[in-house]
Amino acid sequence: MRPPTNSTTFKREFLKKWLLALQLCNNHHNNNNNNNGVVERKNTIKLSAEIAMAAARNGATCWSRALIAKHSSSSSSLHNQTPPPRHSKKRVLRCKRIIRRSRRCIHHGPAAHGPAAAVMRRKTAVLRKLVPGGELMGDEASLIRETLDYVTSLRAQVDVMRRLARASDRAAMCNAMK
Amino acid sequence: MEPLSGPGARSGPTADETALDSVQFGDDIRHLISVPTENASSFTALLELPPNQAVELLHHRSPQSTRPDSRHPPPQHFNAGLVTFPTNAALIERAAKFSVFAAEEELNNGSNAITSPEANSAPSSSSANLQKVVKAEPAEAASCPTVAAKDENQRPSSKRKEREKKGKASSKKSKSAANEDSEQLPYVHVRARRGQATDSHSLAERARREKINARMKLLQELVPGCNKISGTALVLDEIINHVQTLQQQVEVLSMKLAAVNPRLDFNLDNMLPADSGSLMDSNFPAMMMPVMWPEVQPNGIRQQYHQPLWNFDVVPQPHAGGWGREDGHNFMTPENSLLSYVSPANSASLNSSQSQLKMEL
Repeated sequence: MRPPTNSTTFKREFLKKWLLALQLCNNHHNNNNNNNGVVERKNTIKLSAEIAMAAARNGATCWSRALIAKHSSSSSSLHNQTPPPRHSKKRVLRCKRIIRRSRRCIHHGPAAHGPAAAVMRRKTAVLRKLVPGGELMGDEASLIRETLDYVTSLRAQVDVMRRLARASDRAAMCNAMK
Repeated sequence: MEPLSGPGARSGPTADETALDSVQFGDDIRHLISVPTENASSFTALLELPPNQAVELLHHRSPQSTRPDSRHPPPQHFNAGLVTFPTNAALIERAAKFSVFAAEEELNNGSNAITSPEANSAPSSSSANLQKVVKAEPAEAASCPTVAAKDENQRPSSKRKEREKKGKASSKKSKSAANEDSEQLPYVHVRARRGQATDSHSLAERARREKINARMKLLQELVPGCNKISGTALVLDEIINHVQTLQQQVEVLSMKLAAVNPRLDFNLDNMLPADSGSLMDSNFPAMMMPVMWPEVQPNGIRQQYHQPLWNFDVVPQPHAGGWGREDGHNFMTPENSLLSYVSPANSASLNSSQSQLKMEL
């Protein structure tokens, strides 16, 4: 079972992996194309941060695996030299199809058709889209569990990024003043 | 602490029960936040309880097993079966714990048809049938979150339900699944509250609902400003809002970082003199240890990084196929090679943060 999210260790892990991934990306781009646009850089940063966050969970959560699978199937910069693995994407799609089909046959409880239930279903659908890998989870309970973990990880990620931004801000200011 | 205890019709919970509930609840909170590894249904892993122990507990604690035959599954069967039914162990353990209390309580009420989980006849079925044990205690709603809600409604065959009563004899409705493994599987002990249907579907539904409510409560505590809201839909709204906000913050921060660093090299040694506090505090308490590695010159770092990083281009390739599963390892091997390169190449210089980071790496 995944141990409860320890914020400090998670942040540390995340930072390590993120910096590493950034260096990889940086090196890669320096070799290949000229990647100087702000938007591209931002995307690289964001992508590497996402992967690092997911990797810091060490595959213990569904959302982290889904994130990694998503990024590995899309042609991310880290995989430019190798063909992106197609099977993971297919597997994800197949999973989604299975889940969708099974959901149709699920026997809903007694209150499954009221307006309240419809509202709930709409909201859980929204949540599913937000949380990576949310669509792959068949039942609401595990969705909520994943959301819980995802929220804590997001918070840690935001915290780390904020500190890094602040630090580099101050460094830039200091260097500018010298 | 019985936030989830619904039935007011229950006979007053004793202090013992309350204490037990709180312990269980704390337990469940921890378990809630965790997620099973790989196999989502591996509750053994979920609760880190070796199956044998759980079975021992189970067998040990059921004083009034009315059906001796149900005791027969020895732990060996468990091992074999646990490959397919990993949910057994912890749930059985819980069932055992609760059954003891339930049994004590029920004894007072004069009923003996209790909750010893072994009294369940249901032998395990093949992997298609999963029997779950739902706790009969009020706090079991809290402990239920760990029960996989997979297809609860679709597998009524091996569920055992009891009707809760105040002085009424509990009626057991146990359906036995036909199978030859005769393995002890966890059961879902669901107590129907007074005046509610004991239909298997509605019971399962209620168990599901309680589990979901338990987790929603956790989420409520996590998301700021959600404590006062009552009603699942509004809480969900808040949660969605929060997640969206967090994702937007990530966007903004990454844009900011991109703007600040034109070269995307977050050279911490430059940042150190400017900011001794922010990066160093609660994030890296362990990194404030004395530098054991020789420190690196600020200028020399970049060259040194370039060399070992050539290795990294090779590393992702063999793992590309298994990216999803091996990602943790992916990042470890480059780090190791980085370490091996950095250590001999380091020269003494002042850069505690950078070298600390490399130490961690």
